[in-house]
Amino acid sequence: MKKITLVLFVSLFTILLAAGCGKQTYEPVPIDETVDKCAICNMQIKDDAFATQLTTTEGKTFKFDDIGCMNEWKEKNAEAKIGGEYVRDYNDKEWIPYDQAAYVYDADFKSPMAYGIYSFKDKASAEAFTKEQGKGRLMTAADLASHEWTQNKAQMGMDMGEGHSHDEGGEMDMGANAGATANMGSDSH
Amino acid sequence: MNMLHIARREIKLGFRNPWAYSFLALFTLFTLVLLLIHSSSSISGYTSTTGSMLSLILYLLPLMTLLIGSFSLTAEKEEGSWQLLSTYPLRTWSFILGKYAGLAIVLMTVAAFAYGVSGVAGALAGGGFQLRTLLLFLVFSVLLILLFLAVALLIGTAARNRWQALTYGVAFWFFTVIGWPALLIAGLGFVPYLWIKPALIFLTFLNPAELVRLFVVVKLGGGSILGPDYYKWVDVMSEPLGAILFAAVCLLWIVAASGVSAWAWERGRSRG
Amino acid sequence: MHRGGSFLAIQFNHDCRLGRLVRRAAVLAVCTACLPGASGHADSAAASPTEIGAASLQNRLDAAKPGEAVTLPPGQYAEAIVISKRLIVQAEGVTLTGSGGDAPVVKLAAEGAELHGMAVEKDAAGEAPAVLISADRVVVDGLRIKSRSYGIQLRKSNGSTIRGSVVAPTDDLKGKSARQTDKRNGIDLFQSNGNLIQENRVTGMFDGIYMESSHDNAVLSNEIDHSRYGIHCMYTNGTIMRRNSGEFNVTGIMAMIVKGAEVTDNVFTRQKGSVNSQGMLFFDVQNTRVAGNELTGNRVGLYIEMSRNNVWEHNDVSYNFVGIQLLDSQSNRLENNRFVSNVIETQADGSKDNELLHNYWDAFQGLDPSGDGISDIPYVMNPFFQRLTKGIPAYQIFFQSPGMRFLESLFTADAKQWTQDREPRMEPALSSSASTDSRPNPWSAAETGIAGAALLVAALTIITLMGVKKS
Repeated sequence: MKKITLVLFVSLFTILLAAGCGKQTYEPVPIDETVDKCAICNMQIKDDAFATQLTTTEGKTFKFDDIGCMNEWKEKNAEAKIGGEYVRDYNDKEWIPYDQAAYVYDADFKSPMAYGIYSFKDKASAEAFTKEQGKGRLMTAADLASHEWTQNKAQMGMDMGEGHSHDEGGEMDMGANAGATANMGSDSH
Repeated sequence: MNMLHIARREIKLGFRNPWAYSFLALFTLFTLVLLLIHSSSSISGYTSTTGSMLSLILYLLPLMTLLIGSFSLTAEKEEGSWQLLSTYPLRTWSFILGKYAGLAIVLMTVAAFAYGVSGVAGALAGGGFQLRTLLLFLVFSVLLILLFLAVALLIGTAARNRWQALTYGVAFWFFTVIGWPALLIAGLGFVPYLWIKPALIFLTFLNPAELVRLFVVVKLGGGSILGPDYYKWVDVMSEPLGAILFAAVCLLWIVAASGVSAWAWERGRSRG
Repeated sequence: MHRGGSFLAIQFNHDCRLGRLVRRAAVLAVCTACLPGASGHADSAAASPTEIGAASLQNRLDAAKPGEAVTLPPGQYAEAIVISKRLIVQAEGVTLTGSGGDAPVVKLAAEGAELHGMAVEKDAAGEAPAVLISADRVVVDGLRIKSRSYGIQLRKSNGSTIRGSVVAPTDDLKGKSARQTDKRNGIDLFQSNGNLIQENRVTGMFDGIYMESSHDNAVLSNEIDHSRYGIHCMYTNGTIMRRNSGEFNVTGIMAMIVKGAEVTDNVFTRQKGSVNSQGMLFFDVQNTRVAGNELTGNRVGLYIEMSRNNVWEHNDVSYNFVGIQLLDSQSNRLENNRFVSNVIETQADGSKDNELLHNYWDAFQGLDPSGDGISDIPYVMNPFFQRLTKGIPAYQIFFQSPGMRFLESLFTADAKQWTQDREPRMEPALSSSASTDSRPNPWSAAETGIAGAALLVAALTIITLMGVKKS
C-alpha cells in the first residue's frame, strides 16, 4: 500500500512540475458551431471570419462572435492574464494573432454584433478591401486600444436617401447575419 | 457444491433476513410518496419529478445494497459457516459469484416489488410513470444494485465483522453519493485548469453512483444540461452503441471488484 | 422530411410532366384552402396552362400599368422578376426558380406593390434572398419559399406586410448535419420599421425571423421550428411579438439590445437539443414587458442577463431543466409567474435588486399561517452552482447530483445578497395549459399498470418460491 502511495505521489509531482515549467504556447482552437457561444453576448458562434478567441494563461479559452465582444470581455476582466488572442482573416478565415492583424472599421460594415470591424492578415489585403468597398478606416491593434467601440445601432436608415448607392451588389460575401450590402435599396441585378 | 447451490442458499437467507423486508417497505413507501406528490401529470423526460426520483434512488439503493451485501459476507466469517464451506470442494470463485448472484436476485426483487407497486398505483390513479420512464428507472436501479453489490463484496471481504462492514459501507456511500461533488471540487482546486475536465471524467468512471446517474440523465433526454464540455459523450451515450459501451464499463467494474474479492478470499483460505 | 402539409406543394419533382399537373392541383388546393380571397384567380389561372418559359412573366409585369391587378398564369418559370411599379400580382400556381446565380428571384421595389400566392425557389447559395423587399408598404401573402440562402429580406422597407407565407431551406440544408454557416435567415429585416409579419411558418432556417436595427415591427402568430433562433432581435425598439410559437429551435426568442418590446402569449417548447438552448433569452433588454408566455420542456425556460426595467409576469415556465436564469440584472419585476416541475427552478446571481413577488415555485415549501395564499417566508435562490459552473463549466457534470444539494446547503453565509422572492405564492396564480397535454392517455397508463403488475407478480413469485418455501 505504501509503495502505491509513493508512486502516485511522485508521478503527480512530476506532472505538476512539467506543467509548471513548460513554456506554454496558446494555439487557436477551432470553432465548434454546435456548442460554442459567445462568452459575452451568449450568441452561438458561427465558424466565420468574425469569430475571435482568447486563451488565458491558466488555459481557459473564451470565444466570441465579434471582436467587439472580445474587447468587452477584456474590459470586464482587466485582471485576467491573456496568453493568446486570435482574430480571423476576412478572406480565408485563417487565425491570426490579434496584434499582428490589420483592421478595417466602418459603421456601415455588418458584423454579428454590429461593431463593424473586420480583420485581415496583412495591411495589403486590408487596403485592397477598403479600396473595393470605397470606405473603411485602416487600423492596427494599437489603434483598436483607443477605438471607441460603438455598435452600429444604425439609425442611419433614416438619413441615408434611397439614391445613395454603393455598387457592391450581391457579390460581397459578408457571411454574417444579415444581407450583402448596407444599402440594398440600390441593388442592381 | 457449486455456484448455483451458493446462490440458492443466498436467496433463501436473503428473504429470511428482516433487513431485506425493512428495505423493501422503505423503498416502496418512498417511491409511492414521490408518486403522490407529483400525481398531477404523467411522468416522463427529465423533470423535477424524475430528478428527485433519481436522487431518492441514489440515497437509498446504494446504501441498502452495500449493507445487505457486505453483511452477508461478514456473517459467513462471524458465524463460522465459511469455515465449514471451505472444507467442501468449492472453488472460491464459485463462492463469490454465487453470493453475488444470489444477493443480486434478492435486491432486484426488492426493486421490482417497489416499481411494481408504483406502476400499478400510478395506473389506478390515472397518472404516474410512462412505461418507458418506469423501465428506465428499473434499469437504473438494477445497475446501481449490480455495481454497488460488487463493492459490497469487497467491503465484506475487507471487514472483519459486521460493525466494520457497516462503517466501511456507510463511508463508501457517503463518499460516492453525498460528499462526491464537495470532495472533487475541493481536490481539483489544486489542479491546473486544463486538467479539471479530464480528471472529472476519469473520476466519474470510478464512481458507480455518478456513472449510472449520468447515463440515466442522458437517456431521459437531459444530456444538453451537462453543457458544451460533455456533448460528445452525450452524443455517444444517446446512441444504441452508448448503451453497449456503458454495459461494458459496468461489466468491467463488476468483474474487477468481485475479482479482487475472490482473490482476497482465496488468499485468506490458503493461509487458513 | 416534409414538415407541414402546405409545404408539400413545392416538394414535387419538377422535371416530371405528370408531376407538374399533380403539383399544380396540389398548389391550387393549398392556396384555396389558406387564402379565401384567392379562389377567383385560381379559376382563371387554371384556364391558361403555360409551358415553362413560354412567356416571360417580366414582360407581363412590364406591360401592366401601376395600380393594376395582374394574374400570372400558373406554371414553372426559370426567371427572376422585379416588380418596380405598384401592381397587385396574383401568382397562385406559379413557381419561380430564378435565372440562376446568387440574385433575388423576386424583387419588390415599388411602394404599395403586392404579391400573392407564388412559390419561389432559390437554389443558388450566397447572400441574395429568394424575395427582396426594398420599398415601403409592400404586401406579400401566401408565398411558399424554398431557399438555399435567405427567404424574405426587407431592406429599408417600412409599413410592409408579410403574411401567411412558408419559408424552408433546400433539402440538403435540413437536418443535423447541415452547417450553420451555410444557413441563412428565414425572414430578415434590416433598417425596416413598422412592418407586420403575421402567420408565417419558418422551418429549418438559420434564424426564423431576424430583425436588426429595425423598429416598431409587429411579429404575430408565426410558427418557427428547427431553426437556430425563432425570433431574433438585435438593436430593435418597440417590437411586438405576440402569439408566436415554436419548438426544436436553439432559442425561441432571442432579444439582444432591445428596448420597449412587448413579448406576450408566445409558446416555445422542447428547445433542449442544443447545450445552449432555451425558451427565451434576454440580453441587455430594457423597458420590455414579457407576459403570458408558455415555456415548457426547454433546457432553460427564461434566460435573463444584463437587463433592466423589465416586467415578466404571468408566464408559465414548466418542465424545463432550469426554470429561470437571472444574471446581473437589476430593477426588473417578476410577478405572478408559475414555475412547475423544473429540475432546478432558478440559477440566479448578481441580481439582488429586482422585485420578485407572488411567483409560484413548486419546489419551494412555503409557510402560510395567515392563510392569504402567500408564504410568509421568502424563497431565496442559492447562487452557488451558478457561480461554480460560470468559473469552471466542467462542473456542470454535477447538475442535480445528490451531493450538490448537500454542498449548496453549506454555503449560505451571504444569503442576504441573494436574489429572492419576498412573497412567493402557495398555489399557482394561473391554471396551466401545459399540463393538459402532458396528461397520459388511458392506454399509456394501462401499459404502465400491466408492466407494474408483472413486476409485482415476478417479485412475489421469487420471494415465495425461492425464499419462503421449504425445500
